[in-house]
Amino acid sequence: MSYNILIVDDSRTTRTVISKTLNLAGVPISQLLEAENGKIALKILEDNWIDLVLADINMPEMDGVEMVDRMSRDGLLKTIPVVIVSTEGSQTRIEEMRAKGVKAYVRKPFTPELIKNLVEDILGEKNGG
Amino acid sequence: MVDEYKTTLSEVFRDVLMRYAFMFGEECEKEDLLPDSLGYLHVHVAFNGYKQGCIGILAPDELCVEMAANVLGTDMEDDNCADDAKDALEELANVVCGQFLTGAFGDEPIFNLSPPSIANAGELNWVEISENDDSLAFMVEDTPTLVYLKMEQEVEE
Repeated sequence: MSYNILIVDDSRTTRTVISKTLNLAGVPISQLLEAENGKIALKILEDNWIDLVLADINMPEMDGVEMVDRMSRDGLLKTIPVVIVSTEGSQTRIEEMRAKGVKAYVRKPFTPELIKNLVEDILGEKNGG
Repeated sequence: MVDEYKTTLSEVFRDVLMRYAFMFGEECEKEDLLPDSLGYLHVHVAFNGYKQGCIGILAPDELCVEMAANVLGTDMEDDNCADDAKDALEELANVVCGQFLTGAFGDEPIFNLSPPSIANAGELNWVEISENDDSLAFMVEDTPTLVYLKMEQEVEE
């Protein structure tokens, strides 16, 4: 089984690093899609089946908080696991986002191993592993 | 800048630089550094919420190219290296800002960070920033770099 993963971050560098990490980790991927803000991500989510979203918080046009909020109000999108990958460190905000269904939180700067382990855990769980 | 913020900013900058870009930075006296690059990149990230202000970095072009190559694992001669350099410095400033805010104010307050704003800069910008008390100087891989923090004054009620 392979997965469709969406990376949402306004930094092309970060999107590339996450993408390389997933490929090097051997995560079975069908499609690796990228968006530079929440608005573009929601459009991609409308048009594609996505198994996992890795998203930043601070982005132009639509930030990660609003994107997660909109996903949580959609019957289908709220079932997609979201991992926040951000420099944001406020526990208050992290708790708010967890309450809206965010599965996990990774703080920047991250190690590739952390992303790899988290993605494998979540996709394994999703797959009944 | 108050001494406590200076200490936190210095620690955070060196730590993030090492973990994000695999580069070593050492704080030094501003007077000991002379601008020796033909071009610089100047990035700043504004924040508001519990406190308001911004964090900025002025770094030589060649250091930013090296940083991008380190982060992305690419060659410094790549066609996209100028764009990659800007993007890598923007992300460095973003991460430094987020880490500084929790380092200085704890993990309870909520802050909103603006997307990084970046522009080409020159020696005049270097002189202007280095003369300001809000800035700190670093040698990053033997390259002079400036980092600053500007806090907005709080209005007494």
